[in-house]
Amino acid sequence: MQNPVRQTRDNRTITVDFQSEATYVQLLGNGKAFVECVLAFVLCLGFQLKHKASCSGGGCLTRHSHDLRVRLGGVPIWRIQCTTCRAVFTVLPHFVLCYRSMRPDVAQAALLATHRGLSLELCAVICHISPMALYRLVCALGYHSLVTVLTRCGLALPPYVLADEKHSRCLTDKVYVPTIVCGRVIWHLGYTEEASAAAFTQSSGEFQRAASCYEPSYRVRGILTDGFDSTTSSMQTLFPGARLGSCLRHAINKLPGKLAAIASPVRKALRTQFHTLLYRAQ
Amino acid sequence: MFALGQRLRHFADHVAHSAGVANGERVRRWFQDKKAGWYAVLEDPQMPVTSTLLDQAHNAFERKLFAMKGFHHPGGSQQAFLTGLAHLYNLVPYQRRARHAGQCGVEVEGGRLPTRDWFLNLQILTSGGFQ
Repeated sequence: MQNPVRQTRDNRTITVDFQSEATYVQLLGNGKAFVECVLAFVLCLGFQLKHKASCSGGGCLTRHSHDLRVRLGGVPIWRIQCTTCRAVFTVLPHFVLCYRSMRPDVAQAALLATHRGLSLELCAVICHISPMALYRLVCALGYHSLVTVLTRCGLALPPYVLADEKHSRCLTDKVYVPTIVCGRVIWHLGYTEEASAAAFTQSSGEFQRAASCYEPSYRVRGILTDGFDSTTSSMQTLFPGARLGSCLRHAINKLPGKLAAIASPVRKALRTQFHTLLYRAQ
Repeated sequence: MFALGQRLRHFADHVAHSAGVANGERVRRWFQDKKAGWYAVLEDPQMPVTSTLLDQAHNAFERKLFAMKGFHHPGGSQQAFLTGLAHLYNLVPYQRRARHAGQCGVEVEGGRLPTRDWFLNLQILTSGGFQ
């Protein structure tokens, strides 16, 4: 017998700040106040709820059903429903992490420690969680697209980007991390096992697809690279109309490598002169 | 900017004079290969000039990429792990002695954040139910 194709459900979980756990517990007993609190929070954020495409709007929200988060001591988690499109939103209070039993303050401390350079093992020791739990927490965040999150923050898609790759190792394998950055924001951080143009095109294509989905008319106007062939080719393939520039600092750093069999002071002097030449050209 | 080609030619002549003809010729060929990229940078004032900010991001990931060694397995989520780290890079505020102390990368670039608490922002922004 053929299994029927299961329809995947949209993730409509929303995190709501209830200020304190006590307030949340108090609101649970009053359905109207609970929904009003959720609505007030959504309105103050300035975000829209993700209704179904068919929703004509104008409906209201109602409390739908609830379950208990057993691993967190039986915290009730409520769902609310749009009365027009029947979309159901799971309301996670701010002190509960999606699908995690660790407390948010523990997760926050561990993530901050790992972000500031401590290894996963040491973060896990100081925060009393397992390294794998921390790894899974980072991965759970990573299932959300960078483009989606950044555009929710009101950032426009970048017309000029920096593209480069970094090599690293996973056990004995050499791996590459193609990166797209604009200013101080990372728009794409990929992972490939080859340094080929095809691999980089596939990886950076995720950014291009996500950006085109968000804004179909999106075009990159300029891309700065260090001149690595695979990165340059992948960018040309993905963004055919964009101008490709070469990093001037890389140029200054590479000049001494082109000068063979000369004394170090002469090499340094030529590098300084070349730096001045490019600086004056700006 | 329009004199760049001429300046590069003069510089290659200068290299040939001070460091030998072979070096001068090598530099001249290198300039020929690369100058289109430099022109592209210098012609458009909005184009970034150096990849310093990207190098800073890569330096920040050095230690975390090292951590990947211990978590590599056939069914691993390397891509998700890296994207998760990128979210932290974008949303965790800089430390108090940093240039943009108290602000995160998104704020520095002009983005708006839902709350003052970076971790709550992370939870809200990675919720599936908002758009």
